[in-house]
Amino acid sequence: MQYSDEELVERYGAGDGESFRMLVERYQDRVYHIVYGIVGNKDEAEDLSQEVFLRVYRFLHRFKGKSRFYTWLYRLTVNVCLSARRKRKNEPGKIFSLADSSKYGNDPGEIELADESLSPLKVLQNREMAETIKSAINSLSEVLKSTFVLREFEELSYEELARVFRCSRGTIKSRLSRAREQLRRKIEPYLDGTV
Amino acid sequence: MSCKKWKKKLSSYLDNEVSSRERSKIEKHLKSCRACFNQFKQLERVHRLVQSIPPEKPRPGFYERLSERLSQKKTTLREKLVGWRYGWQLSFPRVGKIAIAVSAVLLVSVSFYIWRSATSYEVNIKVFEEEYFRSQQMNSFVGELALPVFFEIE
Repeated sequence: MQYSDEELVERYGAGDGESFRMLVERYQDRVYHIVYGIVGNKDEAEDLSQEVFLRVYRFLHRFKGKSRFYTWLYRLTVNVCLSARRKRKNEPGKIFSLADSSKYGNDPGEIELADESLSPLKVLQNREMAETIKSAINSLSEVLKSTFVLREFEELSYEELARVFRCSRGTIKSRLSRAREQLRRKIEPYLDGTV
Repeated sequence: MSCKKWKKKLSSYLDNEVSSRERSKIEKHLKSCRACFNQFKQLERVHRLVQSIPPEKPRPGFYERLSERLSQKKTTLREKLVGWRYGWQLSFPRVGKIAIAVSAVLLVSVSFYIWRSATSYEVNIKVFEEEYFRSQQMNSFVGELALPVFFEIE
């Protein structure tokens, strides 16, 4: 039987430990993808994704069901990423490089844009393009990046984003517009002839 | 409206987050302005490229690693204080919680009743003691009166 998120939360509150497992397994890929989009390396993404679920485990009783569960979860995810970012910034000698190419691009299948019919040259160009895009996303400010990642990866509506970030719909609109414009400018040289 | 203002609207137009009225205005402008049209096409292209990056997935066994971290995690004092409710939620099913709550209420009620009974008994003892001493005093008073009378008789 497929339970809704809210049913799983309720069952968990009633002492059903299995519901927690189901929630984790339902959202682990999405949370990981978001975290990876924000922090940009796999080890960090694994660690922070687990931190997100540790907080879910600890604070799920605070979820009152006023919003959708995933809105709450994504807010938690963004908070974990941003606080990790702040912590890293305060640690001398550590640079939180989101475009860590040694971790970002070593896996040959990792950044390939999906199209098997392409020539090796085209595949290479696509990989370069993916790298460029990731690097451009990485260069955005934390808030712009988080908003952009949730919109692009999870396709959250502006209303949902406003709930996640606890701000107005207008703010979300403005953030996404700025993020896209910055990305467009960075990628513009690569977009020639693709329009 | 200047192109700068139109360009700011292109992102929400791309996301289909504009009203139908605004949509038709933007579309009308895009038909007449080459610069805005090109910019929109570039934004569309960026969007498609971002979408085409395959999603990252965690290594298999994510939950198992998480469980391990959960079991290893030491409970901090704050968690002990804040997390009691969580422990309560995990430890008992709903019926059990109701049973425990009812038992607790009964226990408190019975304890209160016993305490009240004991207190009222003490009050009775005190009253009894007071009455007893008063009667004793009365007796001694009677005795004091009686003695001189007795001597006088003698």
